[in-house]
Amino acid sequence: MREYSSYSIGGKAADALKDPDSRGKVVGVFSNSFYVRTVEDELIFVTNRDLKSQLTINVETADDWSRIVQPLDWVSFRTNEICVGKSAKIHVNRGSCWYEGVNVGPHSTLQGLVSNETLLLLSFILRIIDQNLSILDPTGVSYEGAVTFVRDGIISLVHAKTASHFHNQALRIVGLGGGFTASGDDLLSGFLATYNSLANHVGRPEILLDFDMLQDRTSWISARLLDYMQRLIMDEQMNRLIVSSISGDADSFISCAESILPRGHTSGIDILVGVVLALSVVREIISNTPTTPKIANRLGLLGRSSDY
Amino acid sequence: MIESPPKSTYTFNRLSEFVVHLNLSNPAQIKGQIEEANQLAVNRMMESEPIWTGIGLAGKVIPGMKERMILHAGPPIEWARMSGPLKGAVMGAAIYEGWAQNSKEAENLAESNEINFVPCHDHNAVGPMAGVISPNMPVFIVRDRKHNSLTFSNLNEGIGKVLRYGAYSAEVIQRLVWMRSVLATTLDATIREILKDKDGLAVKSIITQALTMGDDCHNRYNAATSLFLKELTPYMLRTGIDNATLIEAFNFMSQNNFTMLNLGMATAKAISLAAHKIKYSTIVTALTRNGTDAGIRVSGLDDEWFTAPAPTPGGVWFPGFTEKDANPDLGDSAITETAGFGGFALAAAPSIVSWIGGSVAYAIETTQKMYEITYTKNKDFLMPFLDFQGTPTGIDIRKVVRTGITPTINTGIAHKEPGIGQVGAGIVSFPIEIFKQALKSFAQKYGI
Repeated sequence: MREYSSYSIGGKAADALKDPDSRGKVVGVFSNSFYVRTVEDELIFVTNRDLKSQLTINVETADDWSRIVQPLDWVSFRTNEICVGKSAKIHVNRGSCWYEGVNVGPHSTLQGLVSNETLLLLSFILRIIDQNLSILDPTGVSYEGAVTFVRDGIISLVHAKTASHFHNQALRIVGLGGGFTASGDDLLSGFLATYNSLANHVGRPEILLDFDMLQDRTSWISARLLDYMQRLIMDEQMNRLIVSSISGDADSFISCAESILPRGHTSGIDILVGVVLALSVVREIISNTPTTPKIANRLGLLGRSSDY
Repeated sequence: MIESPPKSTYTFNRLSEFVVHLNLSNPAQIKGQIEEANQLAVNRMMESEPIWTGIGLAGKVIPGMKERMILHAGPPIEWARMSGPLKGAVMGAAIYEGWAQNSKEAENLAESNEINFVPCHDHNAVGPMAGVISPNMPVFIVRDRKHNSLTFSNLNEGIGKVLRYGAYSAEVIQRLVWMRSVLATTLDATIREILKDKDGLAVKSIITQALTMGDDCHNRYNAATSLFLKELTPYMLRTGIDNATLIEAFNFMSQNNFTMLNLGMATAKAISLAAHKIKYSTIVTALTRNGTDAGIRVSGLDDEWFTAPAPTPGGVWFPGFTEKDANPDLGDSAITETAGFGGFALAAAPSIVSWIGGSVAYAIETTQKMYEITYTKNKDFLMPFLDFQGTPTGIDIRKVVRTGITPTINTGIAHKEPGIGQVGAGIVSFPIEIFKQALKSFAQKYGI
């Protein structure tokens, strides 16, 4: 049995520890992390990386988790430790709790909302990097679905009286594309995390997709991650990105966005596409000038024939 | 019930109209141009033919080098922000030039803006560690036969307490004087003999061979130095210089495995320069550090510097020293990685792990990782341990930001105080911030 110590633990992960009967199963393993599905149907993420979130238990080790933990290993949560099968024990008594949520409070203003020029800049960056198999890849399986969603879901959202049409269009791209988290899921994650962070500031309600409907269309892990993002339970990089998007500091926004690019194989790109489109929608709601098509076009998501 | 799409103020057919009249660059087209530009850049790097053609005093042979000017490693920096070793090297150079009698006078001179500090790179020169070149220091002159550029580097002083690590004692100054009056004179006579037979000494072929003999040609130059001396010796013997002087010069060079480092760096500078200033190219043409800041230049962004605080290397410490003594990363020698060898060829130099730490597996893994951020595999720099694969060549800022993997440099480590010297050797990675800035700047230049 290998023993480890955590140095940081997110709020949701800490909640699991409070329940003496709480258990879970390992549902995904990588070299630097593994995912646990608790019996309460929540997701906990144990990682060697320093990135913190409410779901995360950060552990200082260089060990390869894929050699230690197996999918379907039982995980038991006790007050001060987490036991993973018979192979690992993680002590959490020295970990520090981290509960930070999105810092776009009710009193924040959108005066510093990122400009169209900055969104165009970021869109340009997304187009010139390697986007193979991402939502932006015109030869990829998720591209056409994304184009339809942008045209019929996102652009229409600006003037829609309700979000029901958006809901229907959004569900069509859940599970679309490959990867540990599908490209469509990542695009929605980025879009909804951003839109829902800012919606109240522009007099709009948040958009929440039904979890059961998500789960019907994509993997449980991907559905959960998307669900957390739409409910504004996100990691510190996403927090920083959204806060920077209303800070008035374009350099900081671009830098935060670039930090997300390496995420997964294409998740970083897909999430950022969603973020850019959401910010464009919010800006368009505020300014009442039709800028979202321009941004969508810069991203190459108005369809192949109009690629400009 | 399925809701009809809401009425909006525009139809799909009209969407494109909003962009027709805007003068925006077409990203798809630009991406094609980037790929073409990058291919051109790396082709030019690989076609480069650097040859050693001469030795001269910096003030006489480096274009634009002026009196009371000191070239230094790294991106631009003013005296107040310079690190200990760089300040020590500047003071040593001021004493060597006769501008000051001692370190105090030298310090006062530097503080009073009497000395003009300029990056070596701005004059197509490079220097290891502090990289200080002053007007009366001898420099190697390297000409790229293919692209007709000239690049320069100073001569290697050896190891221990030397100027490039910030030492400035009388012994250091005396060595520099000897290097000018004896070593450089001998090398000058030697290269003149070489030039009677051919147009110069082909340095790239020495590096190519050395990479197959266990060198990485940044931090391990054992084979390259031996090959260099093998080339040099017959011509040294033809110079007519007296035996005692020849032996003194030869021994100085042969007892220092880093003799070839500076010439190798000038060669790498020539290779990288061949790729510089190509419109739309995202290839890095300079990686460098001054002990305070790390900096890069990018081909398609002309001479703009992108900088961030230099990280401190970790590795193997000389007896009596620890990481607490280390100065942040320093030197123009990362030009070797820029050109596609050095830390990018660690897989070619398994013995180096005894010098910088780590394992052979780590050395191989490091090279393999660098393929993810480079444009091509070098057709000339081949690594036997990787089945003669070419080294990763042509760092692409897009790939660095996309993957989060930054260039790995293997380097000497200087003490943070001036006058002490080298305290270890190890590995360092360039900060990602620099590449993020550069990519943003690229987008601003070409995207809007």
